[in-house]
Amino acid sequence: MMQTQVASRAGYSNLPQFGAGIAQDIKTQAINNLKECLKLTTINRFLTSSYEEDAKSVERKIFSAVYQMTKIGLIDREKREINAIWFTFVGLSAQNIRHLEICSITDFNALFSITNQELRSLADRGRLDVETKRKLLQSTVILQNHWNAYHSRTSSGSTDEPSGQSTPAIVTPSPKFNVPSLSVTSAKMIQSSSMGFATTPKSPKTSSRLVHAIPHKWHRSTKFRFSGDAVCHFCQRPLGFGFLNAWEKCRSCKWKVHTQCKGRVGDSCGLTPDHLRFLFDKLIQENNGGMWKDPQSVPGSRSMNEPAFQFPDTAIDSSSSTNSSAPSTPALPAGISGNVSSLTAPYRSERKFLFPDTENYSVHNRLPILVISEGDHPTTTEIQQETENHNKSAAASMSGNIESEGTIVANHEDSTGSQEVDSEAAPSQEAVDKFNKRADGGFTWERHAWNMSTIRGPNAQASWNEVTIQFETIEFDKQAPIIGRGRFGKVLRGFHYGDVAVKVYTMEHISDASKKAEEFKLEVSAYKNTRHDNIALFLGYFMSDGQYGMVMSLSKGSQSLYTLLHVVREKLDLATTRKIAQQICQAVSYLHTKKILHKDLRSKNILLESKNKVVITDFGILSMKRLAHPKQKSGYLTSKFWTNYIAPELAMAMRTEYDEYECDDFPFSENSDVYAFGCVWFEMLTGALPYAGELPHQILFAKTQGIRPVLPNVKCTQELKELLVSCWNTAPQDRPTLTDINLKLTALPKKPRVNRSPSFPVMMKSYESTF
Amino acid sequence: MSSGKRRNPLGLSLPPTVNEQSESGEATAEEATATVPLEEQLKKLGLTEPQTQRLSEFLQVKEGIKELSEDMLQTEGELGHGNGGVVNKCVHRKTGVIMARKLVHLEIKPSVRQQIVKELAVLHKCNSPFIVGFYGAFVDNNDISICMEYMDGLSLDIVLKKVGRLPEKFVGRISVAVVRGLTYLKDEIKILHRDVKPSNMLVNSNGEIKLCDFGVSGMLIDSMANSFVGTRSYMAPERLTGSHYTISSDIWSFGLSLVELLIGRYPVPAPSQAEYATMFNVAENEIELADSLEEPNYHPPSNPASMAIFEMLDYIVNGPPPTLPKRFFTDEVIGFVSKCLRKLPSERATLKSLTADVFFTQYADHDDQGEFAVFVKGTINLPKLNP
Repeated sequence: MMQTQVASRAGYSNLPQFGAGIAQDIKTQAINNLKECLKLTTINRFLTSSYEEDAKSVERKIFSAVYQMTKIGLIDREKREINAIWFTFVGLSAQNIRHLEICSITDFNALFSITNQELRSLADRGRLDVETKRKLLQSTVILQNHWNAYHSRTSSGSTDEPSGQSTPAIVTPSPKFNVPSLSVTSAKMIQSSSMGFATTPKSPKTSSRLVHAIPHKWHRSTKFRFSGDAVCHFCQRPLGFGFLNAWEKCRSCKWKVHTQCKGRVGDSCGLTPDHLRFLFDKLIQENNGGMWKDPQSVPGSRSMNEPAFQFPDTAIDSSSSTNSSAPSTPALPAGISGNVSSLTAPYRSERKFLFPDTENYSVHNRLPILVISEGDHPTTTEIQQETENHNKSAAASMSGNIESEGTIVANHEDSTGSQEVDSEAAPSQEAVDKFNKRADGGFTWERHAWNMSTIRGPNAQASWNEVTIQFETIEFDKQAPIIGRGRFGKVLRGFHYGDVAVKVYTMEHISDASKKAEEFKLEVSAYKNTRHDNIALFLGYFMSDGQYGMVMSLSKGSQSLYTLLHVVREKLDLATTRKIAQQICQAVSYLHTKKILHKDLRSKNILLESKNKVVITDFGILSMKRLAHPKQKSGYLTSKFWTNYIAPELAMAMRTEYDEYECDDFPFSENSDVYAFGCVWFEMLTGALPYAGELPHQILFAKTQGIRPVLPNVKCTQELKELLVSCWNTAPQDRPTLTDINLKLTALPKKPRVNRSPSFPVMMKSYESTF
Repeated sequence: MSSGKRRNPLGLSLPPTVNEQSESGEATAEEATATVPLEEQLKKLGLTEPQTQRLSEFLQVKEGIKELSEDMLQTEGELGHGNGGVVNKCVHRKTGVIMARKLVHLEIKPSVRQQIVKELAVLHKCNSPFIVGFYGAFVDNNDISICMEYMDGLSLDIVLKKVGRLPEKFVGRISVAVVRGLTYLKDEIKILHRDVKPSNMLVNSNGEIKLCDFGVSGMLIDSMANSFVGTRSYMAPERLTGSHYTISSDIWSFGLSLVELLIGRYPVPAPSQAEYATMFNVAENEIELADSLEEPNYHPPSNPASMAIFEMLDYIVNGPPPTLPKRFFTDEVIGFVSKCLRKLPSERATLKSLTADVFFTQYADHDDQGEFAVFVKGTINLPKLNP
């Protein structure tokens, strides 16, 4: 490697002679400058040092040298050579450089104009080893950061320059230099650059915004671990590894940031664009429709009278009620629409703002920019300074799991609104008080207040008390207490004012003892508010002396669908299959409207009280954490046949290494439940499991390759077959919803009775006579 | 004692589908063993004197034990988790014999449990110096216990964790034992192993190397309450894509295990030149990989340190097989391993062709003067290296 460097330096010194016709001295000077900066020692320091002041100055130096290089008009060949020199210094081999050149990374402009992700995939394709790839990415990002910073500085300085940032091409900052085609997409650049979470500058008084202010729960990982090519969520630079590069991770939303970036992230925990969009949609619906309406009414499902949603609705409900009861506050709808538009498009009025385009949003699913209300957070002023070049925008998002705790602040900037909030019944008086301390409008939910249950209202704790059962009051059957054993606990037969089934869960997967109760409550909260004929009746829960469990109604004489199909080996006729499938559909779609995911739908979790009555159980429990415990030497212990049911996207989420704080949970969704439903349906139709007889690895491989279960001679209509197969679409969003499936099943014509001639003599014409 | 983790010290598990197992083959094997006296069987195997001696010693001990039950055993500590259950170290109270007991939790009717015990009886016929000895199996409550010979060196994956990598001479010895063990299972018992991997190769301080955890009872697999999704797969590419199980698939797993023992890391994805360079602390250009059958269009997973399971499986199927660097290993072992790691089962070596390989013959009847035994003894009390 050393040799190549020397060689390219030699080639480098010959450079000036190519610059025919262009101011030779400027170029020579620039090249010398760069050469100076690119001394090997400096580079090494630059790439290994943490984010310190002197490192920053080294960065700046290198950048300005590089920047000069891009400004002096060079011919392609020279650009390429300089690029090669740079790459050599970064540590790429000649082969790697050639690869990058083939991928059209021939000069700095090209290098700056691709996103980090694109560069990473290029590096992967070029088979760069991990260390080199890290260096390449890191150095590029640093340069890009400087580039952006430099550019935003210049453009913010020139106020008369219009739409500079929102147009894809960055205009030459200074007309003095002849910049060769710097086509840098601003949207791309902001992604890889360190973007500040812009504060709200003095915005129009009338606009009312939602402000998200949930503090992160930073966790400093103490283990020495290699985090691969993970990048800091804030500055987008690689996290690095080991003790040298300190980084922390939020336990709630899994963001990873450098310790030094932590302060600048702000209270942005738990935001994803999806959630906010959802919230806004709700708000709009709220304001347009006036009264609260059930979001989706599920045909056929019963017990739908109570409001189906927990947290967001309550939030919106109360905010809208405050609003509607205050006719003097027309601000809210306007504010909302403003926010909605800002989610999808950059502010026209604020040119400085670099907003990523919506596609990028959906790809990264991360929060790019966030509004932090003034005076709300100690670091606000700091952020303001840091990010004055950047811009405010609407904020977004809430991580996929709704249970994620956090606070949302509805910031009504006009005082009438806030007064209304004070006088009106807010969901939690305590929360209102809390908010009033923090800001002068709107209301706040406490971090701990935002989960499925407590968010429901002031009597949240009371509702928990209602379903608490003292463990001591349950009597257990002495002879044969254990009814069943599952992967995550056992089921006991007990007596509590009648026969009950007691599910005792292991909570050992949570290493932090103080968190166990909290996590368990989250799991129970899925059950607490379910009232559906086809969902196992939840009687109460207990939590004492390390015993965690739920008390459910005991349905005597019921057997699981699994037992019926695979132990008793009963063949289900089409009518029964349809009846059972419909009931499963109704039950699970009811759960979905309640924003509860089953996560573990399979025939063992479907109980049949009779052929006409299905009861589903064990929903909402499965998680990556639970699956990874007890820790196995080299694998995950799962329920039997679990892999047969999981959707491809879940199969892809299983990693070879698991860490409690590192690994995200499975990407469960309504759609993954639909996939599992398809499998159960298949099971009823054929009497065999999908992928029967295959090993877990074979199933995982088949699923991730898009191979669907084979449909053997299933006796049903083509239409049903197509519906069944569509449940297994690899792209989750292509699968039908359970509501759709239920509708189709209901619409299916009942099989007409076969008209056989009766075996007893009747007064009718003989067949002969009909001819 | 319990610090060592051992997975499945005994033979069972693994047949992915019940039907694949050649039941007729088992039946004939049973008849054969019923008629042929044990001594003749042993003679037929062509064992060396110490091997025969140890085997008959084991059989004598076994005779003294006869039927096993829960109250005869005293548990002394955990050896490890298996993919079916826990493995404990036990002492037989009456005779003081140390055993390894695998406890598998089942959720089935008692009648089926007895049937499984019957199926496991095949293990009584496995008398080979390359197969872990079987004392017996019994059912207690919902658990089935399988008692087998205790191997004090535990499994090779544990040994590997303690020493980093194994020298070629030991790997040569291991290859001979494993090939002979697999041949014995195939020819005498008429079964395939189905789960060849370092954690199913056990060693003891006598320098013996034995296979365990082979697919005997399909019913046992079917009845286990939980299943296991491994984060390392030794499954051959054709198995992942769903082809029929043949001995070639065992050969692939064997080859992959050998590479793992030699380089000290699970060889999927195949180590790159750069990685070998770090491993042997030399410059990258000094590493010359044996001519790999590289798939030009294959993109390796983004991050080998923590890849998804599916990426690993995809690599096995679509990526190039691992190769060893020249000069750091002898040409013999490189050739031997690459014969096992052909992606097409038809190109892969057979047990027979492996026994004719130079690498095999080199170690086949080689007497190492107890060197390996000393090595195993040395590892027993070693702590694990940091990962």
